[in-house]
Amino acid sequence: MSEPFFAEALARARARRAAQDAPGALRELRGGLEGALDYATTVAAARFLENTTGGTAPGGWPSRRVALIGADSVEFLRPVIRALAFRDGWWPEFYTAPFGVWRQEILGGQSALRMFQPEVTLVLRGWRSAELPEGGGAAGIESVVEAEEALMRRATEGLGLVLWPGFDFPGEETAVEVGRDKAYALRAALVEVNGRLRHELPPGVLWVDLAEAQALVGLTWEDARWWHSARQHPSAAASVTLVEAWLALLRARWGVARKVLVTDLDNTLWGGIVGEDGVEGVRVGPGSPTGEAHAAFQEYLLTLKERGVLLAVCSKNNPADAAEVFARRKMPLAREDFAAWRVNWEDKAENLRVLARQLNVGLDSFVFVDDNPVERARVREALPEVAVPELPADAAKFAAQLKHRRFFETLAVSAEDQQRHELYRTNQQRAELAAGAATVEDFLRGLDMVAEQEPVSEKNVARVEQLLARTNQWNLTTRRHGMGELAALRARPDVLLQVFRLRDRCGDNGLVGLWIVRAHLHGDWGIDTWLMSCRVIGRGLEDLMFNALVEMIRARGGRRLRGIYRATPKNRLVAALLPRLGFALESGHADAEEQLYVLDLEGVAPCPHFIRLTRGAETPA
Amino acid sequence: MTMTTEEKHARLQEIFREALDLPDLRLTEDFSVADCPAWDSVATVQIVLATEAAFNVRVPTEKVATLHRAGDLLALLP
Repeated sequence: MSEPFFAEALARARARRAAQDAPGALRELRGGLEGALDYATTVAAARFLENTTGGTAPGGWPSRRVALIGADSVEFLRPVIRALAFRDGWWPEFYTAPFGVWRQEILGGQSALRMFQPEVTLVLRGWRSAELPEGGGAAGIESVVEAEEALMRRATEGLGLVLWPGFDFPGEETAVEVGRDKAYALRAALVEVNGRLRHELPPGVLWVDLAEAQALVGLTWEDARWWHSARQHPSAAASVTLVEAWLALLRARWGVARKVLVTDLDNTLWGGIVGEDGVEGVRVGPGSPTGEAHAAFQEYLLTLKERGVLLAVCSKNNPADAAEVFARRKMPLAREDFAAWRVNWEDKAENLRVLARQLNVGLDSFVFVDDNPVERARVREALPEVAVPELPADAAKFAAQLKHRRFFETLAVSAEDQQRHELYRTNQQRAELAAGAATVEDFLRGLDMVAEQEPVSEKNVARVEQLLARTNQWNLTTRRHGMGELAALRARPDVLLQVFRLRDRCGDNGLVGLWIVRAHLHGDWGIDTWLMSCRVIGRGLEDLMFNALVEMIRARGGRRLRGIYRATPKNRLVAALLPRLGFALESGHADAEEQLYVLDLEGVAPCPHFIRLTRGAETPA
Repeated sequence: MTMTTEEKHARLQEIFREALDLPDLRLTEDFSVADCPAWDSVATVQIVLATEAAFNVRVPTEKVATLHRAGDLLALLP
């Protein structure tokens, strides 16, 4: 096996299985999948998995129906998806369409694909299926775009979440062979088709940038041998990169993308050990190739921070030594770029638990980066929910390894992403204020909070989609509406979508609250979605949002408001919200997965809170 | 790097064991698709890619399509 880290883990997994320890075998295998992977390793992992579990989801694992369809053979990707989904903690139940009939499968009313009722549909097809007329031209482009759009629209009906591929480019049609103008025209036409399609995605469709994956894989993206012998495109060598792109989009959409990168210091952020080499002795920045490589890694972390990923430090060091490197050495990252910091001689797993509490996020949003294999193994063992990628020995390759895993994939980057770090820092100031206040009311009053209410609009919809995708704790229904669904909801006159911003004397928290309500007959209204970002929990914003909601639907003749609490493993926080606000239980009992509540709006008094409300100019009265 | 016939056989046996998840497989030249339901088209791709990486060889298209016997692969090794 060409990847030694995986091969060793697989050998240990085999030994466990031989000793009748199936859970231990699966744990070893999962650890092995944190290392570098290729087609052969993922196929070996998938086969081992299916033989160990008997082909069904391990106990308690969520399974999802995944359809895999394409213009060419897609069967070879199944084991790769099986292995990487296992690493991500879920189990696909597959349907694979025979190749060549993908269009009929999508368009047909009673196709096997539709009968399967997929929750996720992965679509794959390469440049050959574009069927551009000879010479391309505007009319040719138009016809390809129209055909694709018709397929996509039909795919939104009953195929679950659809991952639609942009076109890749013909690798072997070089200018030398077919003439410069013709080769250029073909690529240019596909670029234009991609550009048109990705801006016209119907609801429920996510765009897969196949051209980007092709650029990452490079020359081995296509392999004529497998095309001629098995109708495979792209090649098996491209499979891991492609499947990583798919799974990253699913993680983003399902709200389980990672949010925090926790990094070690010695031999990770800089070369050498500050306790031995001294502050001037560690290598970072110009002067040595190692120093350059570590500085480049820091640059990469800085771009992550700018995209909204929180950075934190977890290092075994004397705190003063670590601080001094940041104070005296010139390097891309500053001490202030980290939202939290644990530098001591304690166990790293314990430090990670403390960091999770400090940042008010789950350990399952952490990625832990450490050059020391012993520390990585320790954290994997103690905290299986933390992602611990295996790192190459060479610091120059750290960033590439992390990029390949796409831990922090987002569907869109919003202004809030860029400010997130600042928000967490100001939260520390708030914690100090709270510590100094005599009562909770004194603290809240002292914050001078101002909320702003406005409808969902073009300028905030990217952030709204992100809130829907990411908010797990303070979320009544956990409905993950995407861009398309949001556009459809906004177009409906019987649906109100309002967002709330909150700022206070410590800073602006940004857009942190959302509710979506729908009018039914006879003055009945229903809450589709009500959520709040975890960074403003405990400030009473929900009470202000509730008052605003009651006021708006009363103004529209509302008499009753229905709400559902849909229990998930993470939203216990709001289990008692509706009864507290005076809603009466309509159906379902206390431990049911869904509880329906109703509130008679007559006689509902506003909830007290300590926030001043202003309304955005676009809010209708 | 030159390998003895025994070493080549051992490496190839390891590749087949991984690909088919048969840890106790004793690979013979006559081991074929007919002997093993797990040897499907996906396994063939995996076996060819792993063999190419381990031995630094290139398996030609014609052999890829007709690979049904371990001996066919052994014959291609340097």
